[in-house]
Amino acid sequence: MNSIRAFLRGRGALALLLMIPAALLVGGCESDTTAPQDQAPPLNEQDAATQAGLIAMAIVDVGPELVNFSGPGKTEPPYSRSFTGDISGTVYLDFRLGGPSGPHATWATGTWARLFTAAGEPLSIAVGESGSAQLSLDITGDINRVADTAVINGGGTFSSGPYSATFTFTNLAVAATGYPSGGSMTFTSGSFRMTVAFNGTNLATVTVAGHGTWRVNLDTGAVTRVP
Amino acid sequence: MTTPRGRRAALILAALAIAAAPAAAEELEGLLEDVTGEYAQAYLAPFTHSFGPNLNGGIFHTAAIPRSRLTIEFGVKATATHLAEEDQSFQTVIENVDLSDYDNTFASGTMGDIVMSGPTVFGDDEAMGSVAGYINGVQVFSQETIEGLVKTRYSPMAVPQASLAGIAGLRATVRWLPEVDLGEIGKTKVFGYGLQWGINTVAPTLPIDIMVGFFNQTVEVGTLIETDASSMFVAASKAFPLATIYAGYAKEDAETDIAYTYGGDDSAVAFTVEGTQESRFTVGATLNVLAKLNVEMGHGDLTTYTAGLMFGF
Repeated sequence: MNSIRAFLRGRGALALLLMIPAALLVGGCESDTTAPQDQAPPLNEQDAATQAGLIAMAIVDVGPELVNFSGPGKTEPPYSRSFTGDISGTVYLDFRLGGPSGPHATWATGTWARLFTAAGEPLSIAVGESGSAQLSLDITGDINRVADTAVINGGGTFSSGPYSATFTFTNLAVAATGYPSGGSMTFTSGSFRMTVAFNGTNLATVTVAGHGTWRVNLDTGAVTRVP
Repeated sequence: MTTPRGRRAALILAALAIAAAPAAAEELEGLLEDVTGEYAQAYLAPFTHSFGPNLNGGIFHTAAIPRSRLTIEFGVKATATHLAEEDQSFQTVIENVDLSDYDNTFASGTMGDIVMSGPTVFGDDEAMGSVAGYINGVQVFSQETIEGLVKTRYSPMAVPQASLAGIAGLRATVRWLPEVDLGEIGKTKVFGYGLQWGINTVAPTLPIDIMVGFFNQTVEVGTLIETDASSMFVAASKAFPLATIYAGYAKEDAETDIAYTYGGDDSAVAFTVEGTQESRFTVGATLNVLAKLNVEMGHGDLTTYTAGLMFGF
């Protein structure tokens, strides 16, 4: 009898003992991180202006699709347009009559259009041999079929590796050819907020709030500081 | 007491550890050949920082050392460091460098930032990492690198261990594995030795067993990996009818050398990583039924779990 008691006492003690590491295992003592988890290099105002310049350059190519698009007759949205080259990917266009709540229209008759990229399928802007930036768009435009022009509003997102930014267009005036003749883009990257003003030439002005002015070449995306 | 079945289990465990090492080492070297030393250092960080703590785990499972009764034990210790979830991926940044050093399409002197990121050696084995260059916050080049070796949050290791105790309150412990030829990589070598001394030898009336000791180990995986680990510890234990509980505190260090050939330009890459962990607390319990089965947790900068199966007489 005594030996049984001793055995039970032993088992109780054993269970208690084994619960110590088990509790520690379940409760968990987290290990410190050993792999580097560096933050992306911080942006400066020149960097942010450069990002905005890239989007300004891209919209010169993509924006005019609102008036230039042509395709097989189709009244149900959306049309799609695939880009290849420095800008690649697919945008979708939804043409309507009169405005966003108007009836669907063909590309030839629509007086309002929405141009957008599908979720998770941004346009890619090639940079150098193997670099890139991604551009998601959701813009709308009132189309003048007589003058072949459109006034764009809306916006999108920019990303390039660990960097991301948002932008909106305000009354960006585009035509079938040439550079946007007016309107602006507000671009926000990190703590920098800037306005890109278009003037019909290949040079747009980037004003970074509190930091100065840059000029962006809409053909190359190159950004230079205005003294 | 030793049982044939128990001996077989220990041998199988040791054999598995030995058998798994060559394949993993060859695969790892194959991956590393595609990346530079900077990338490899970050990629391997969870391994290079956990290998030492693994080696320094499970060195003891009791503080009781007989003063003059000879005892022999042998078996297997398996350890695994539980890695932080963040350790399955990494991002390392090198600012303001010459991008032509990383991508030869750039003219010399083109300055920018480098971001290396992707799965670590214990990260996603189906996702590729990348090395990308940035100028003015825009990615100007990107190169795909390598995937993880094995996706896990546990960095594992197993090693045979034997000890001889009972002379003047001393216990000598060794860890050893036979050399395994890894072909082009070379041979594996595992050797460790240590000594423990029971304070109860001079203070037999203490209500618990207390000992101090040290252990040194060297592990070589061909020419790819060489790790030296050492530990000095003090431990206490209390024996019950079926089990012993123990706890200890150790000061430890480890150093891991990595060497391989980068395939991009056939240059030799070699770097040394000092382990981050310098001390640990250990708690554990040993079940004394026929064999000694112990489980323990060691916690320092990293948390290491150990299980051991020892036989002896």
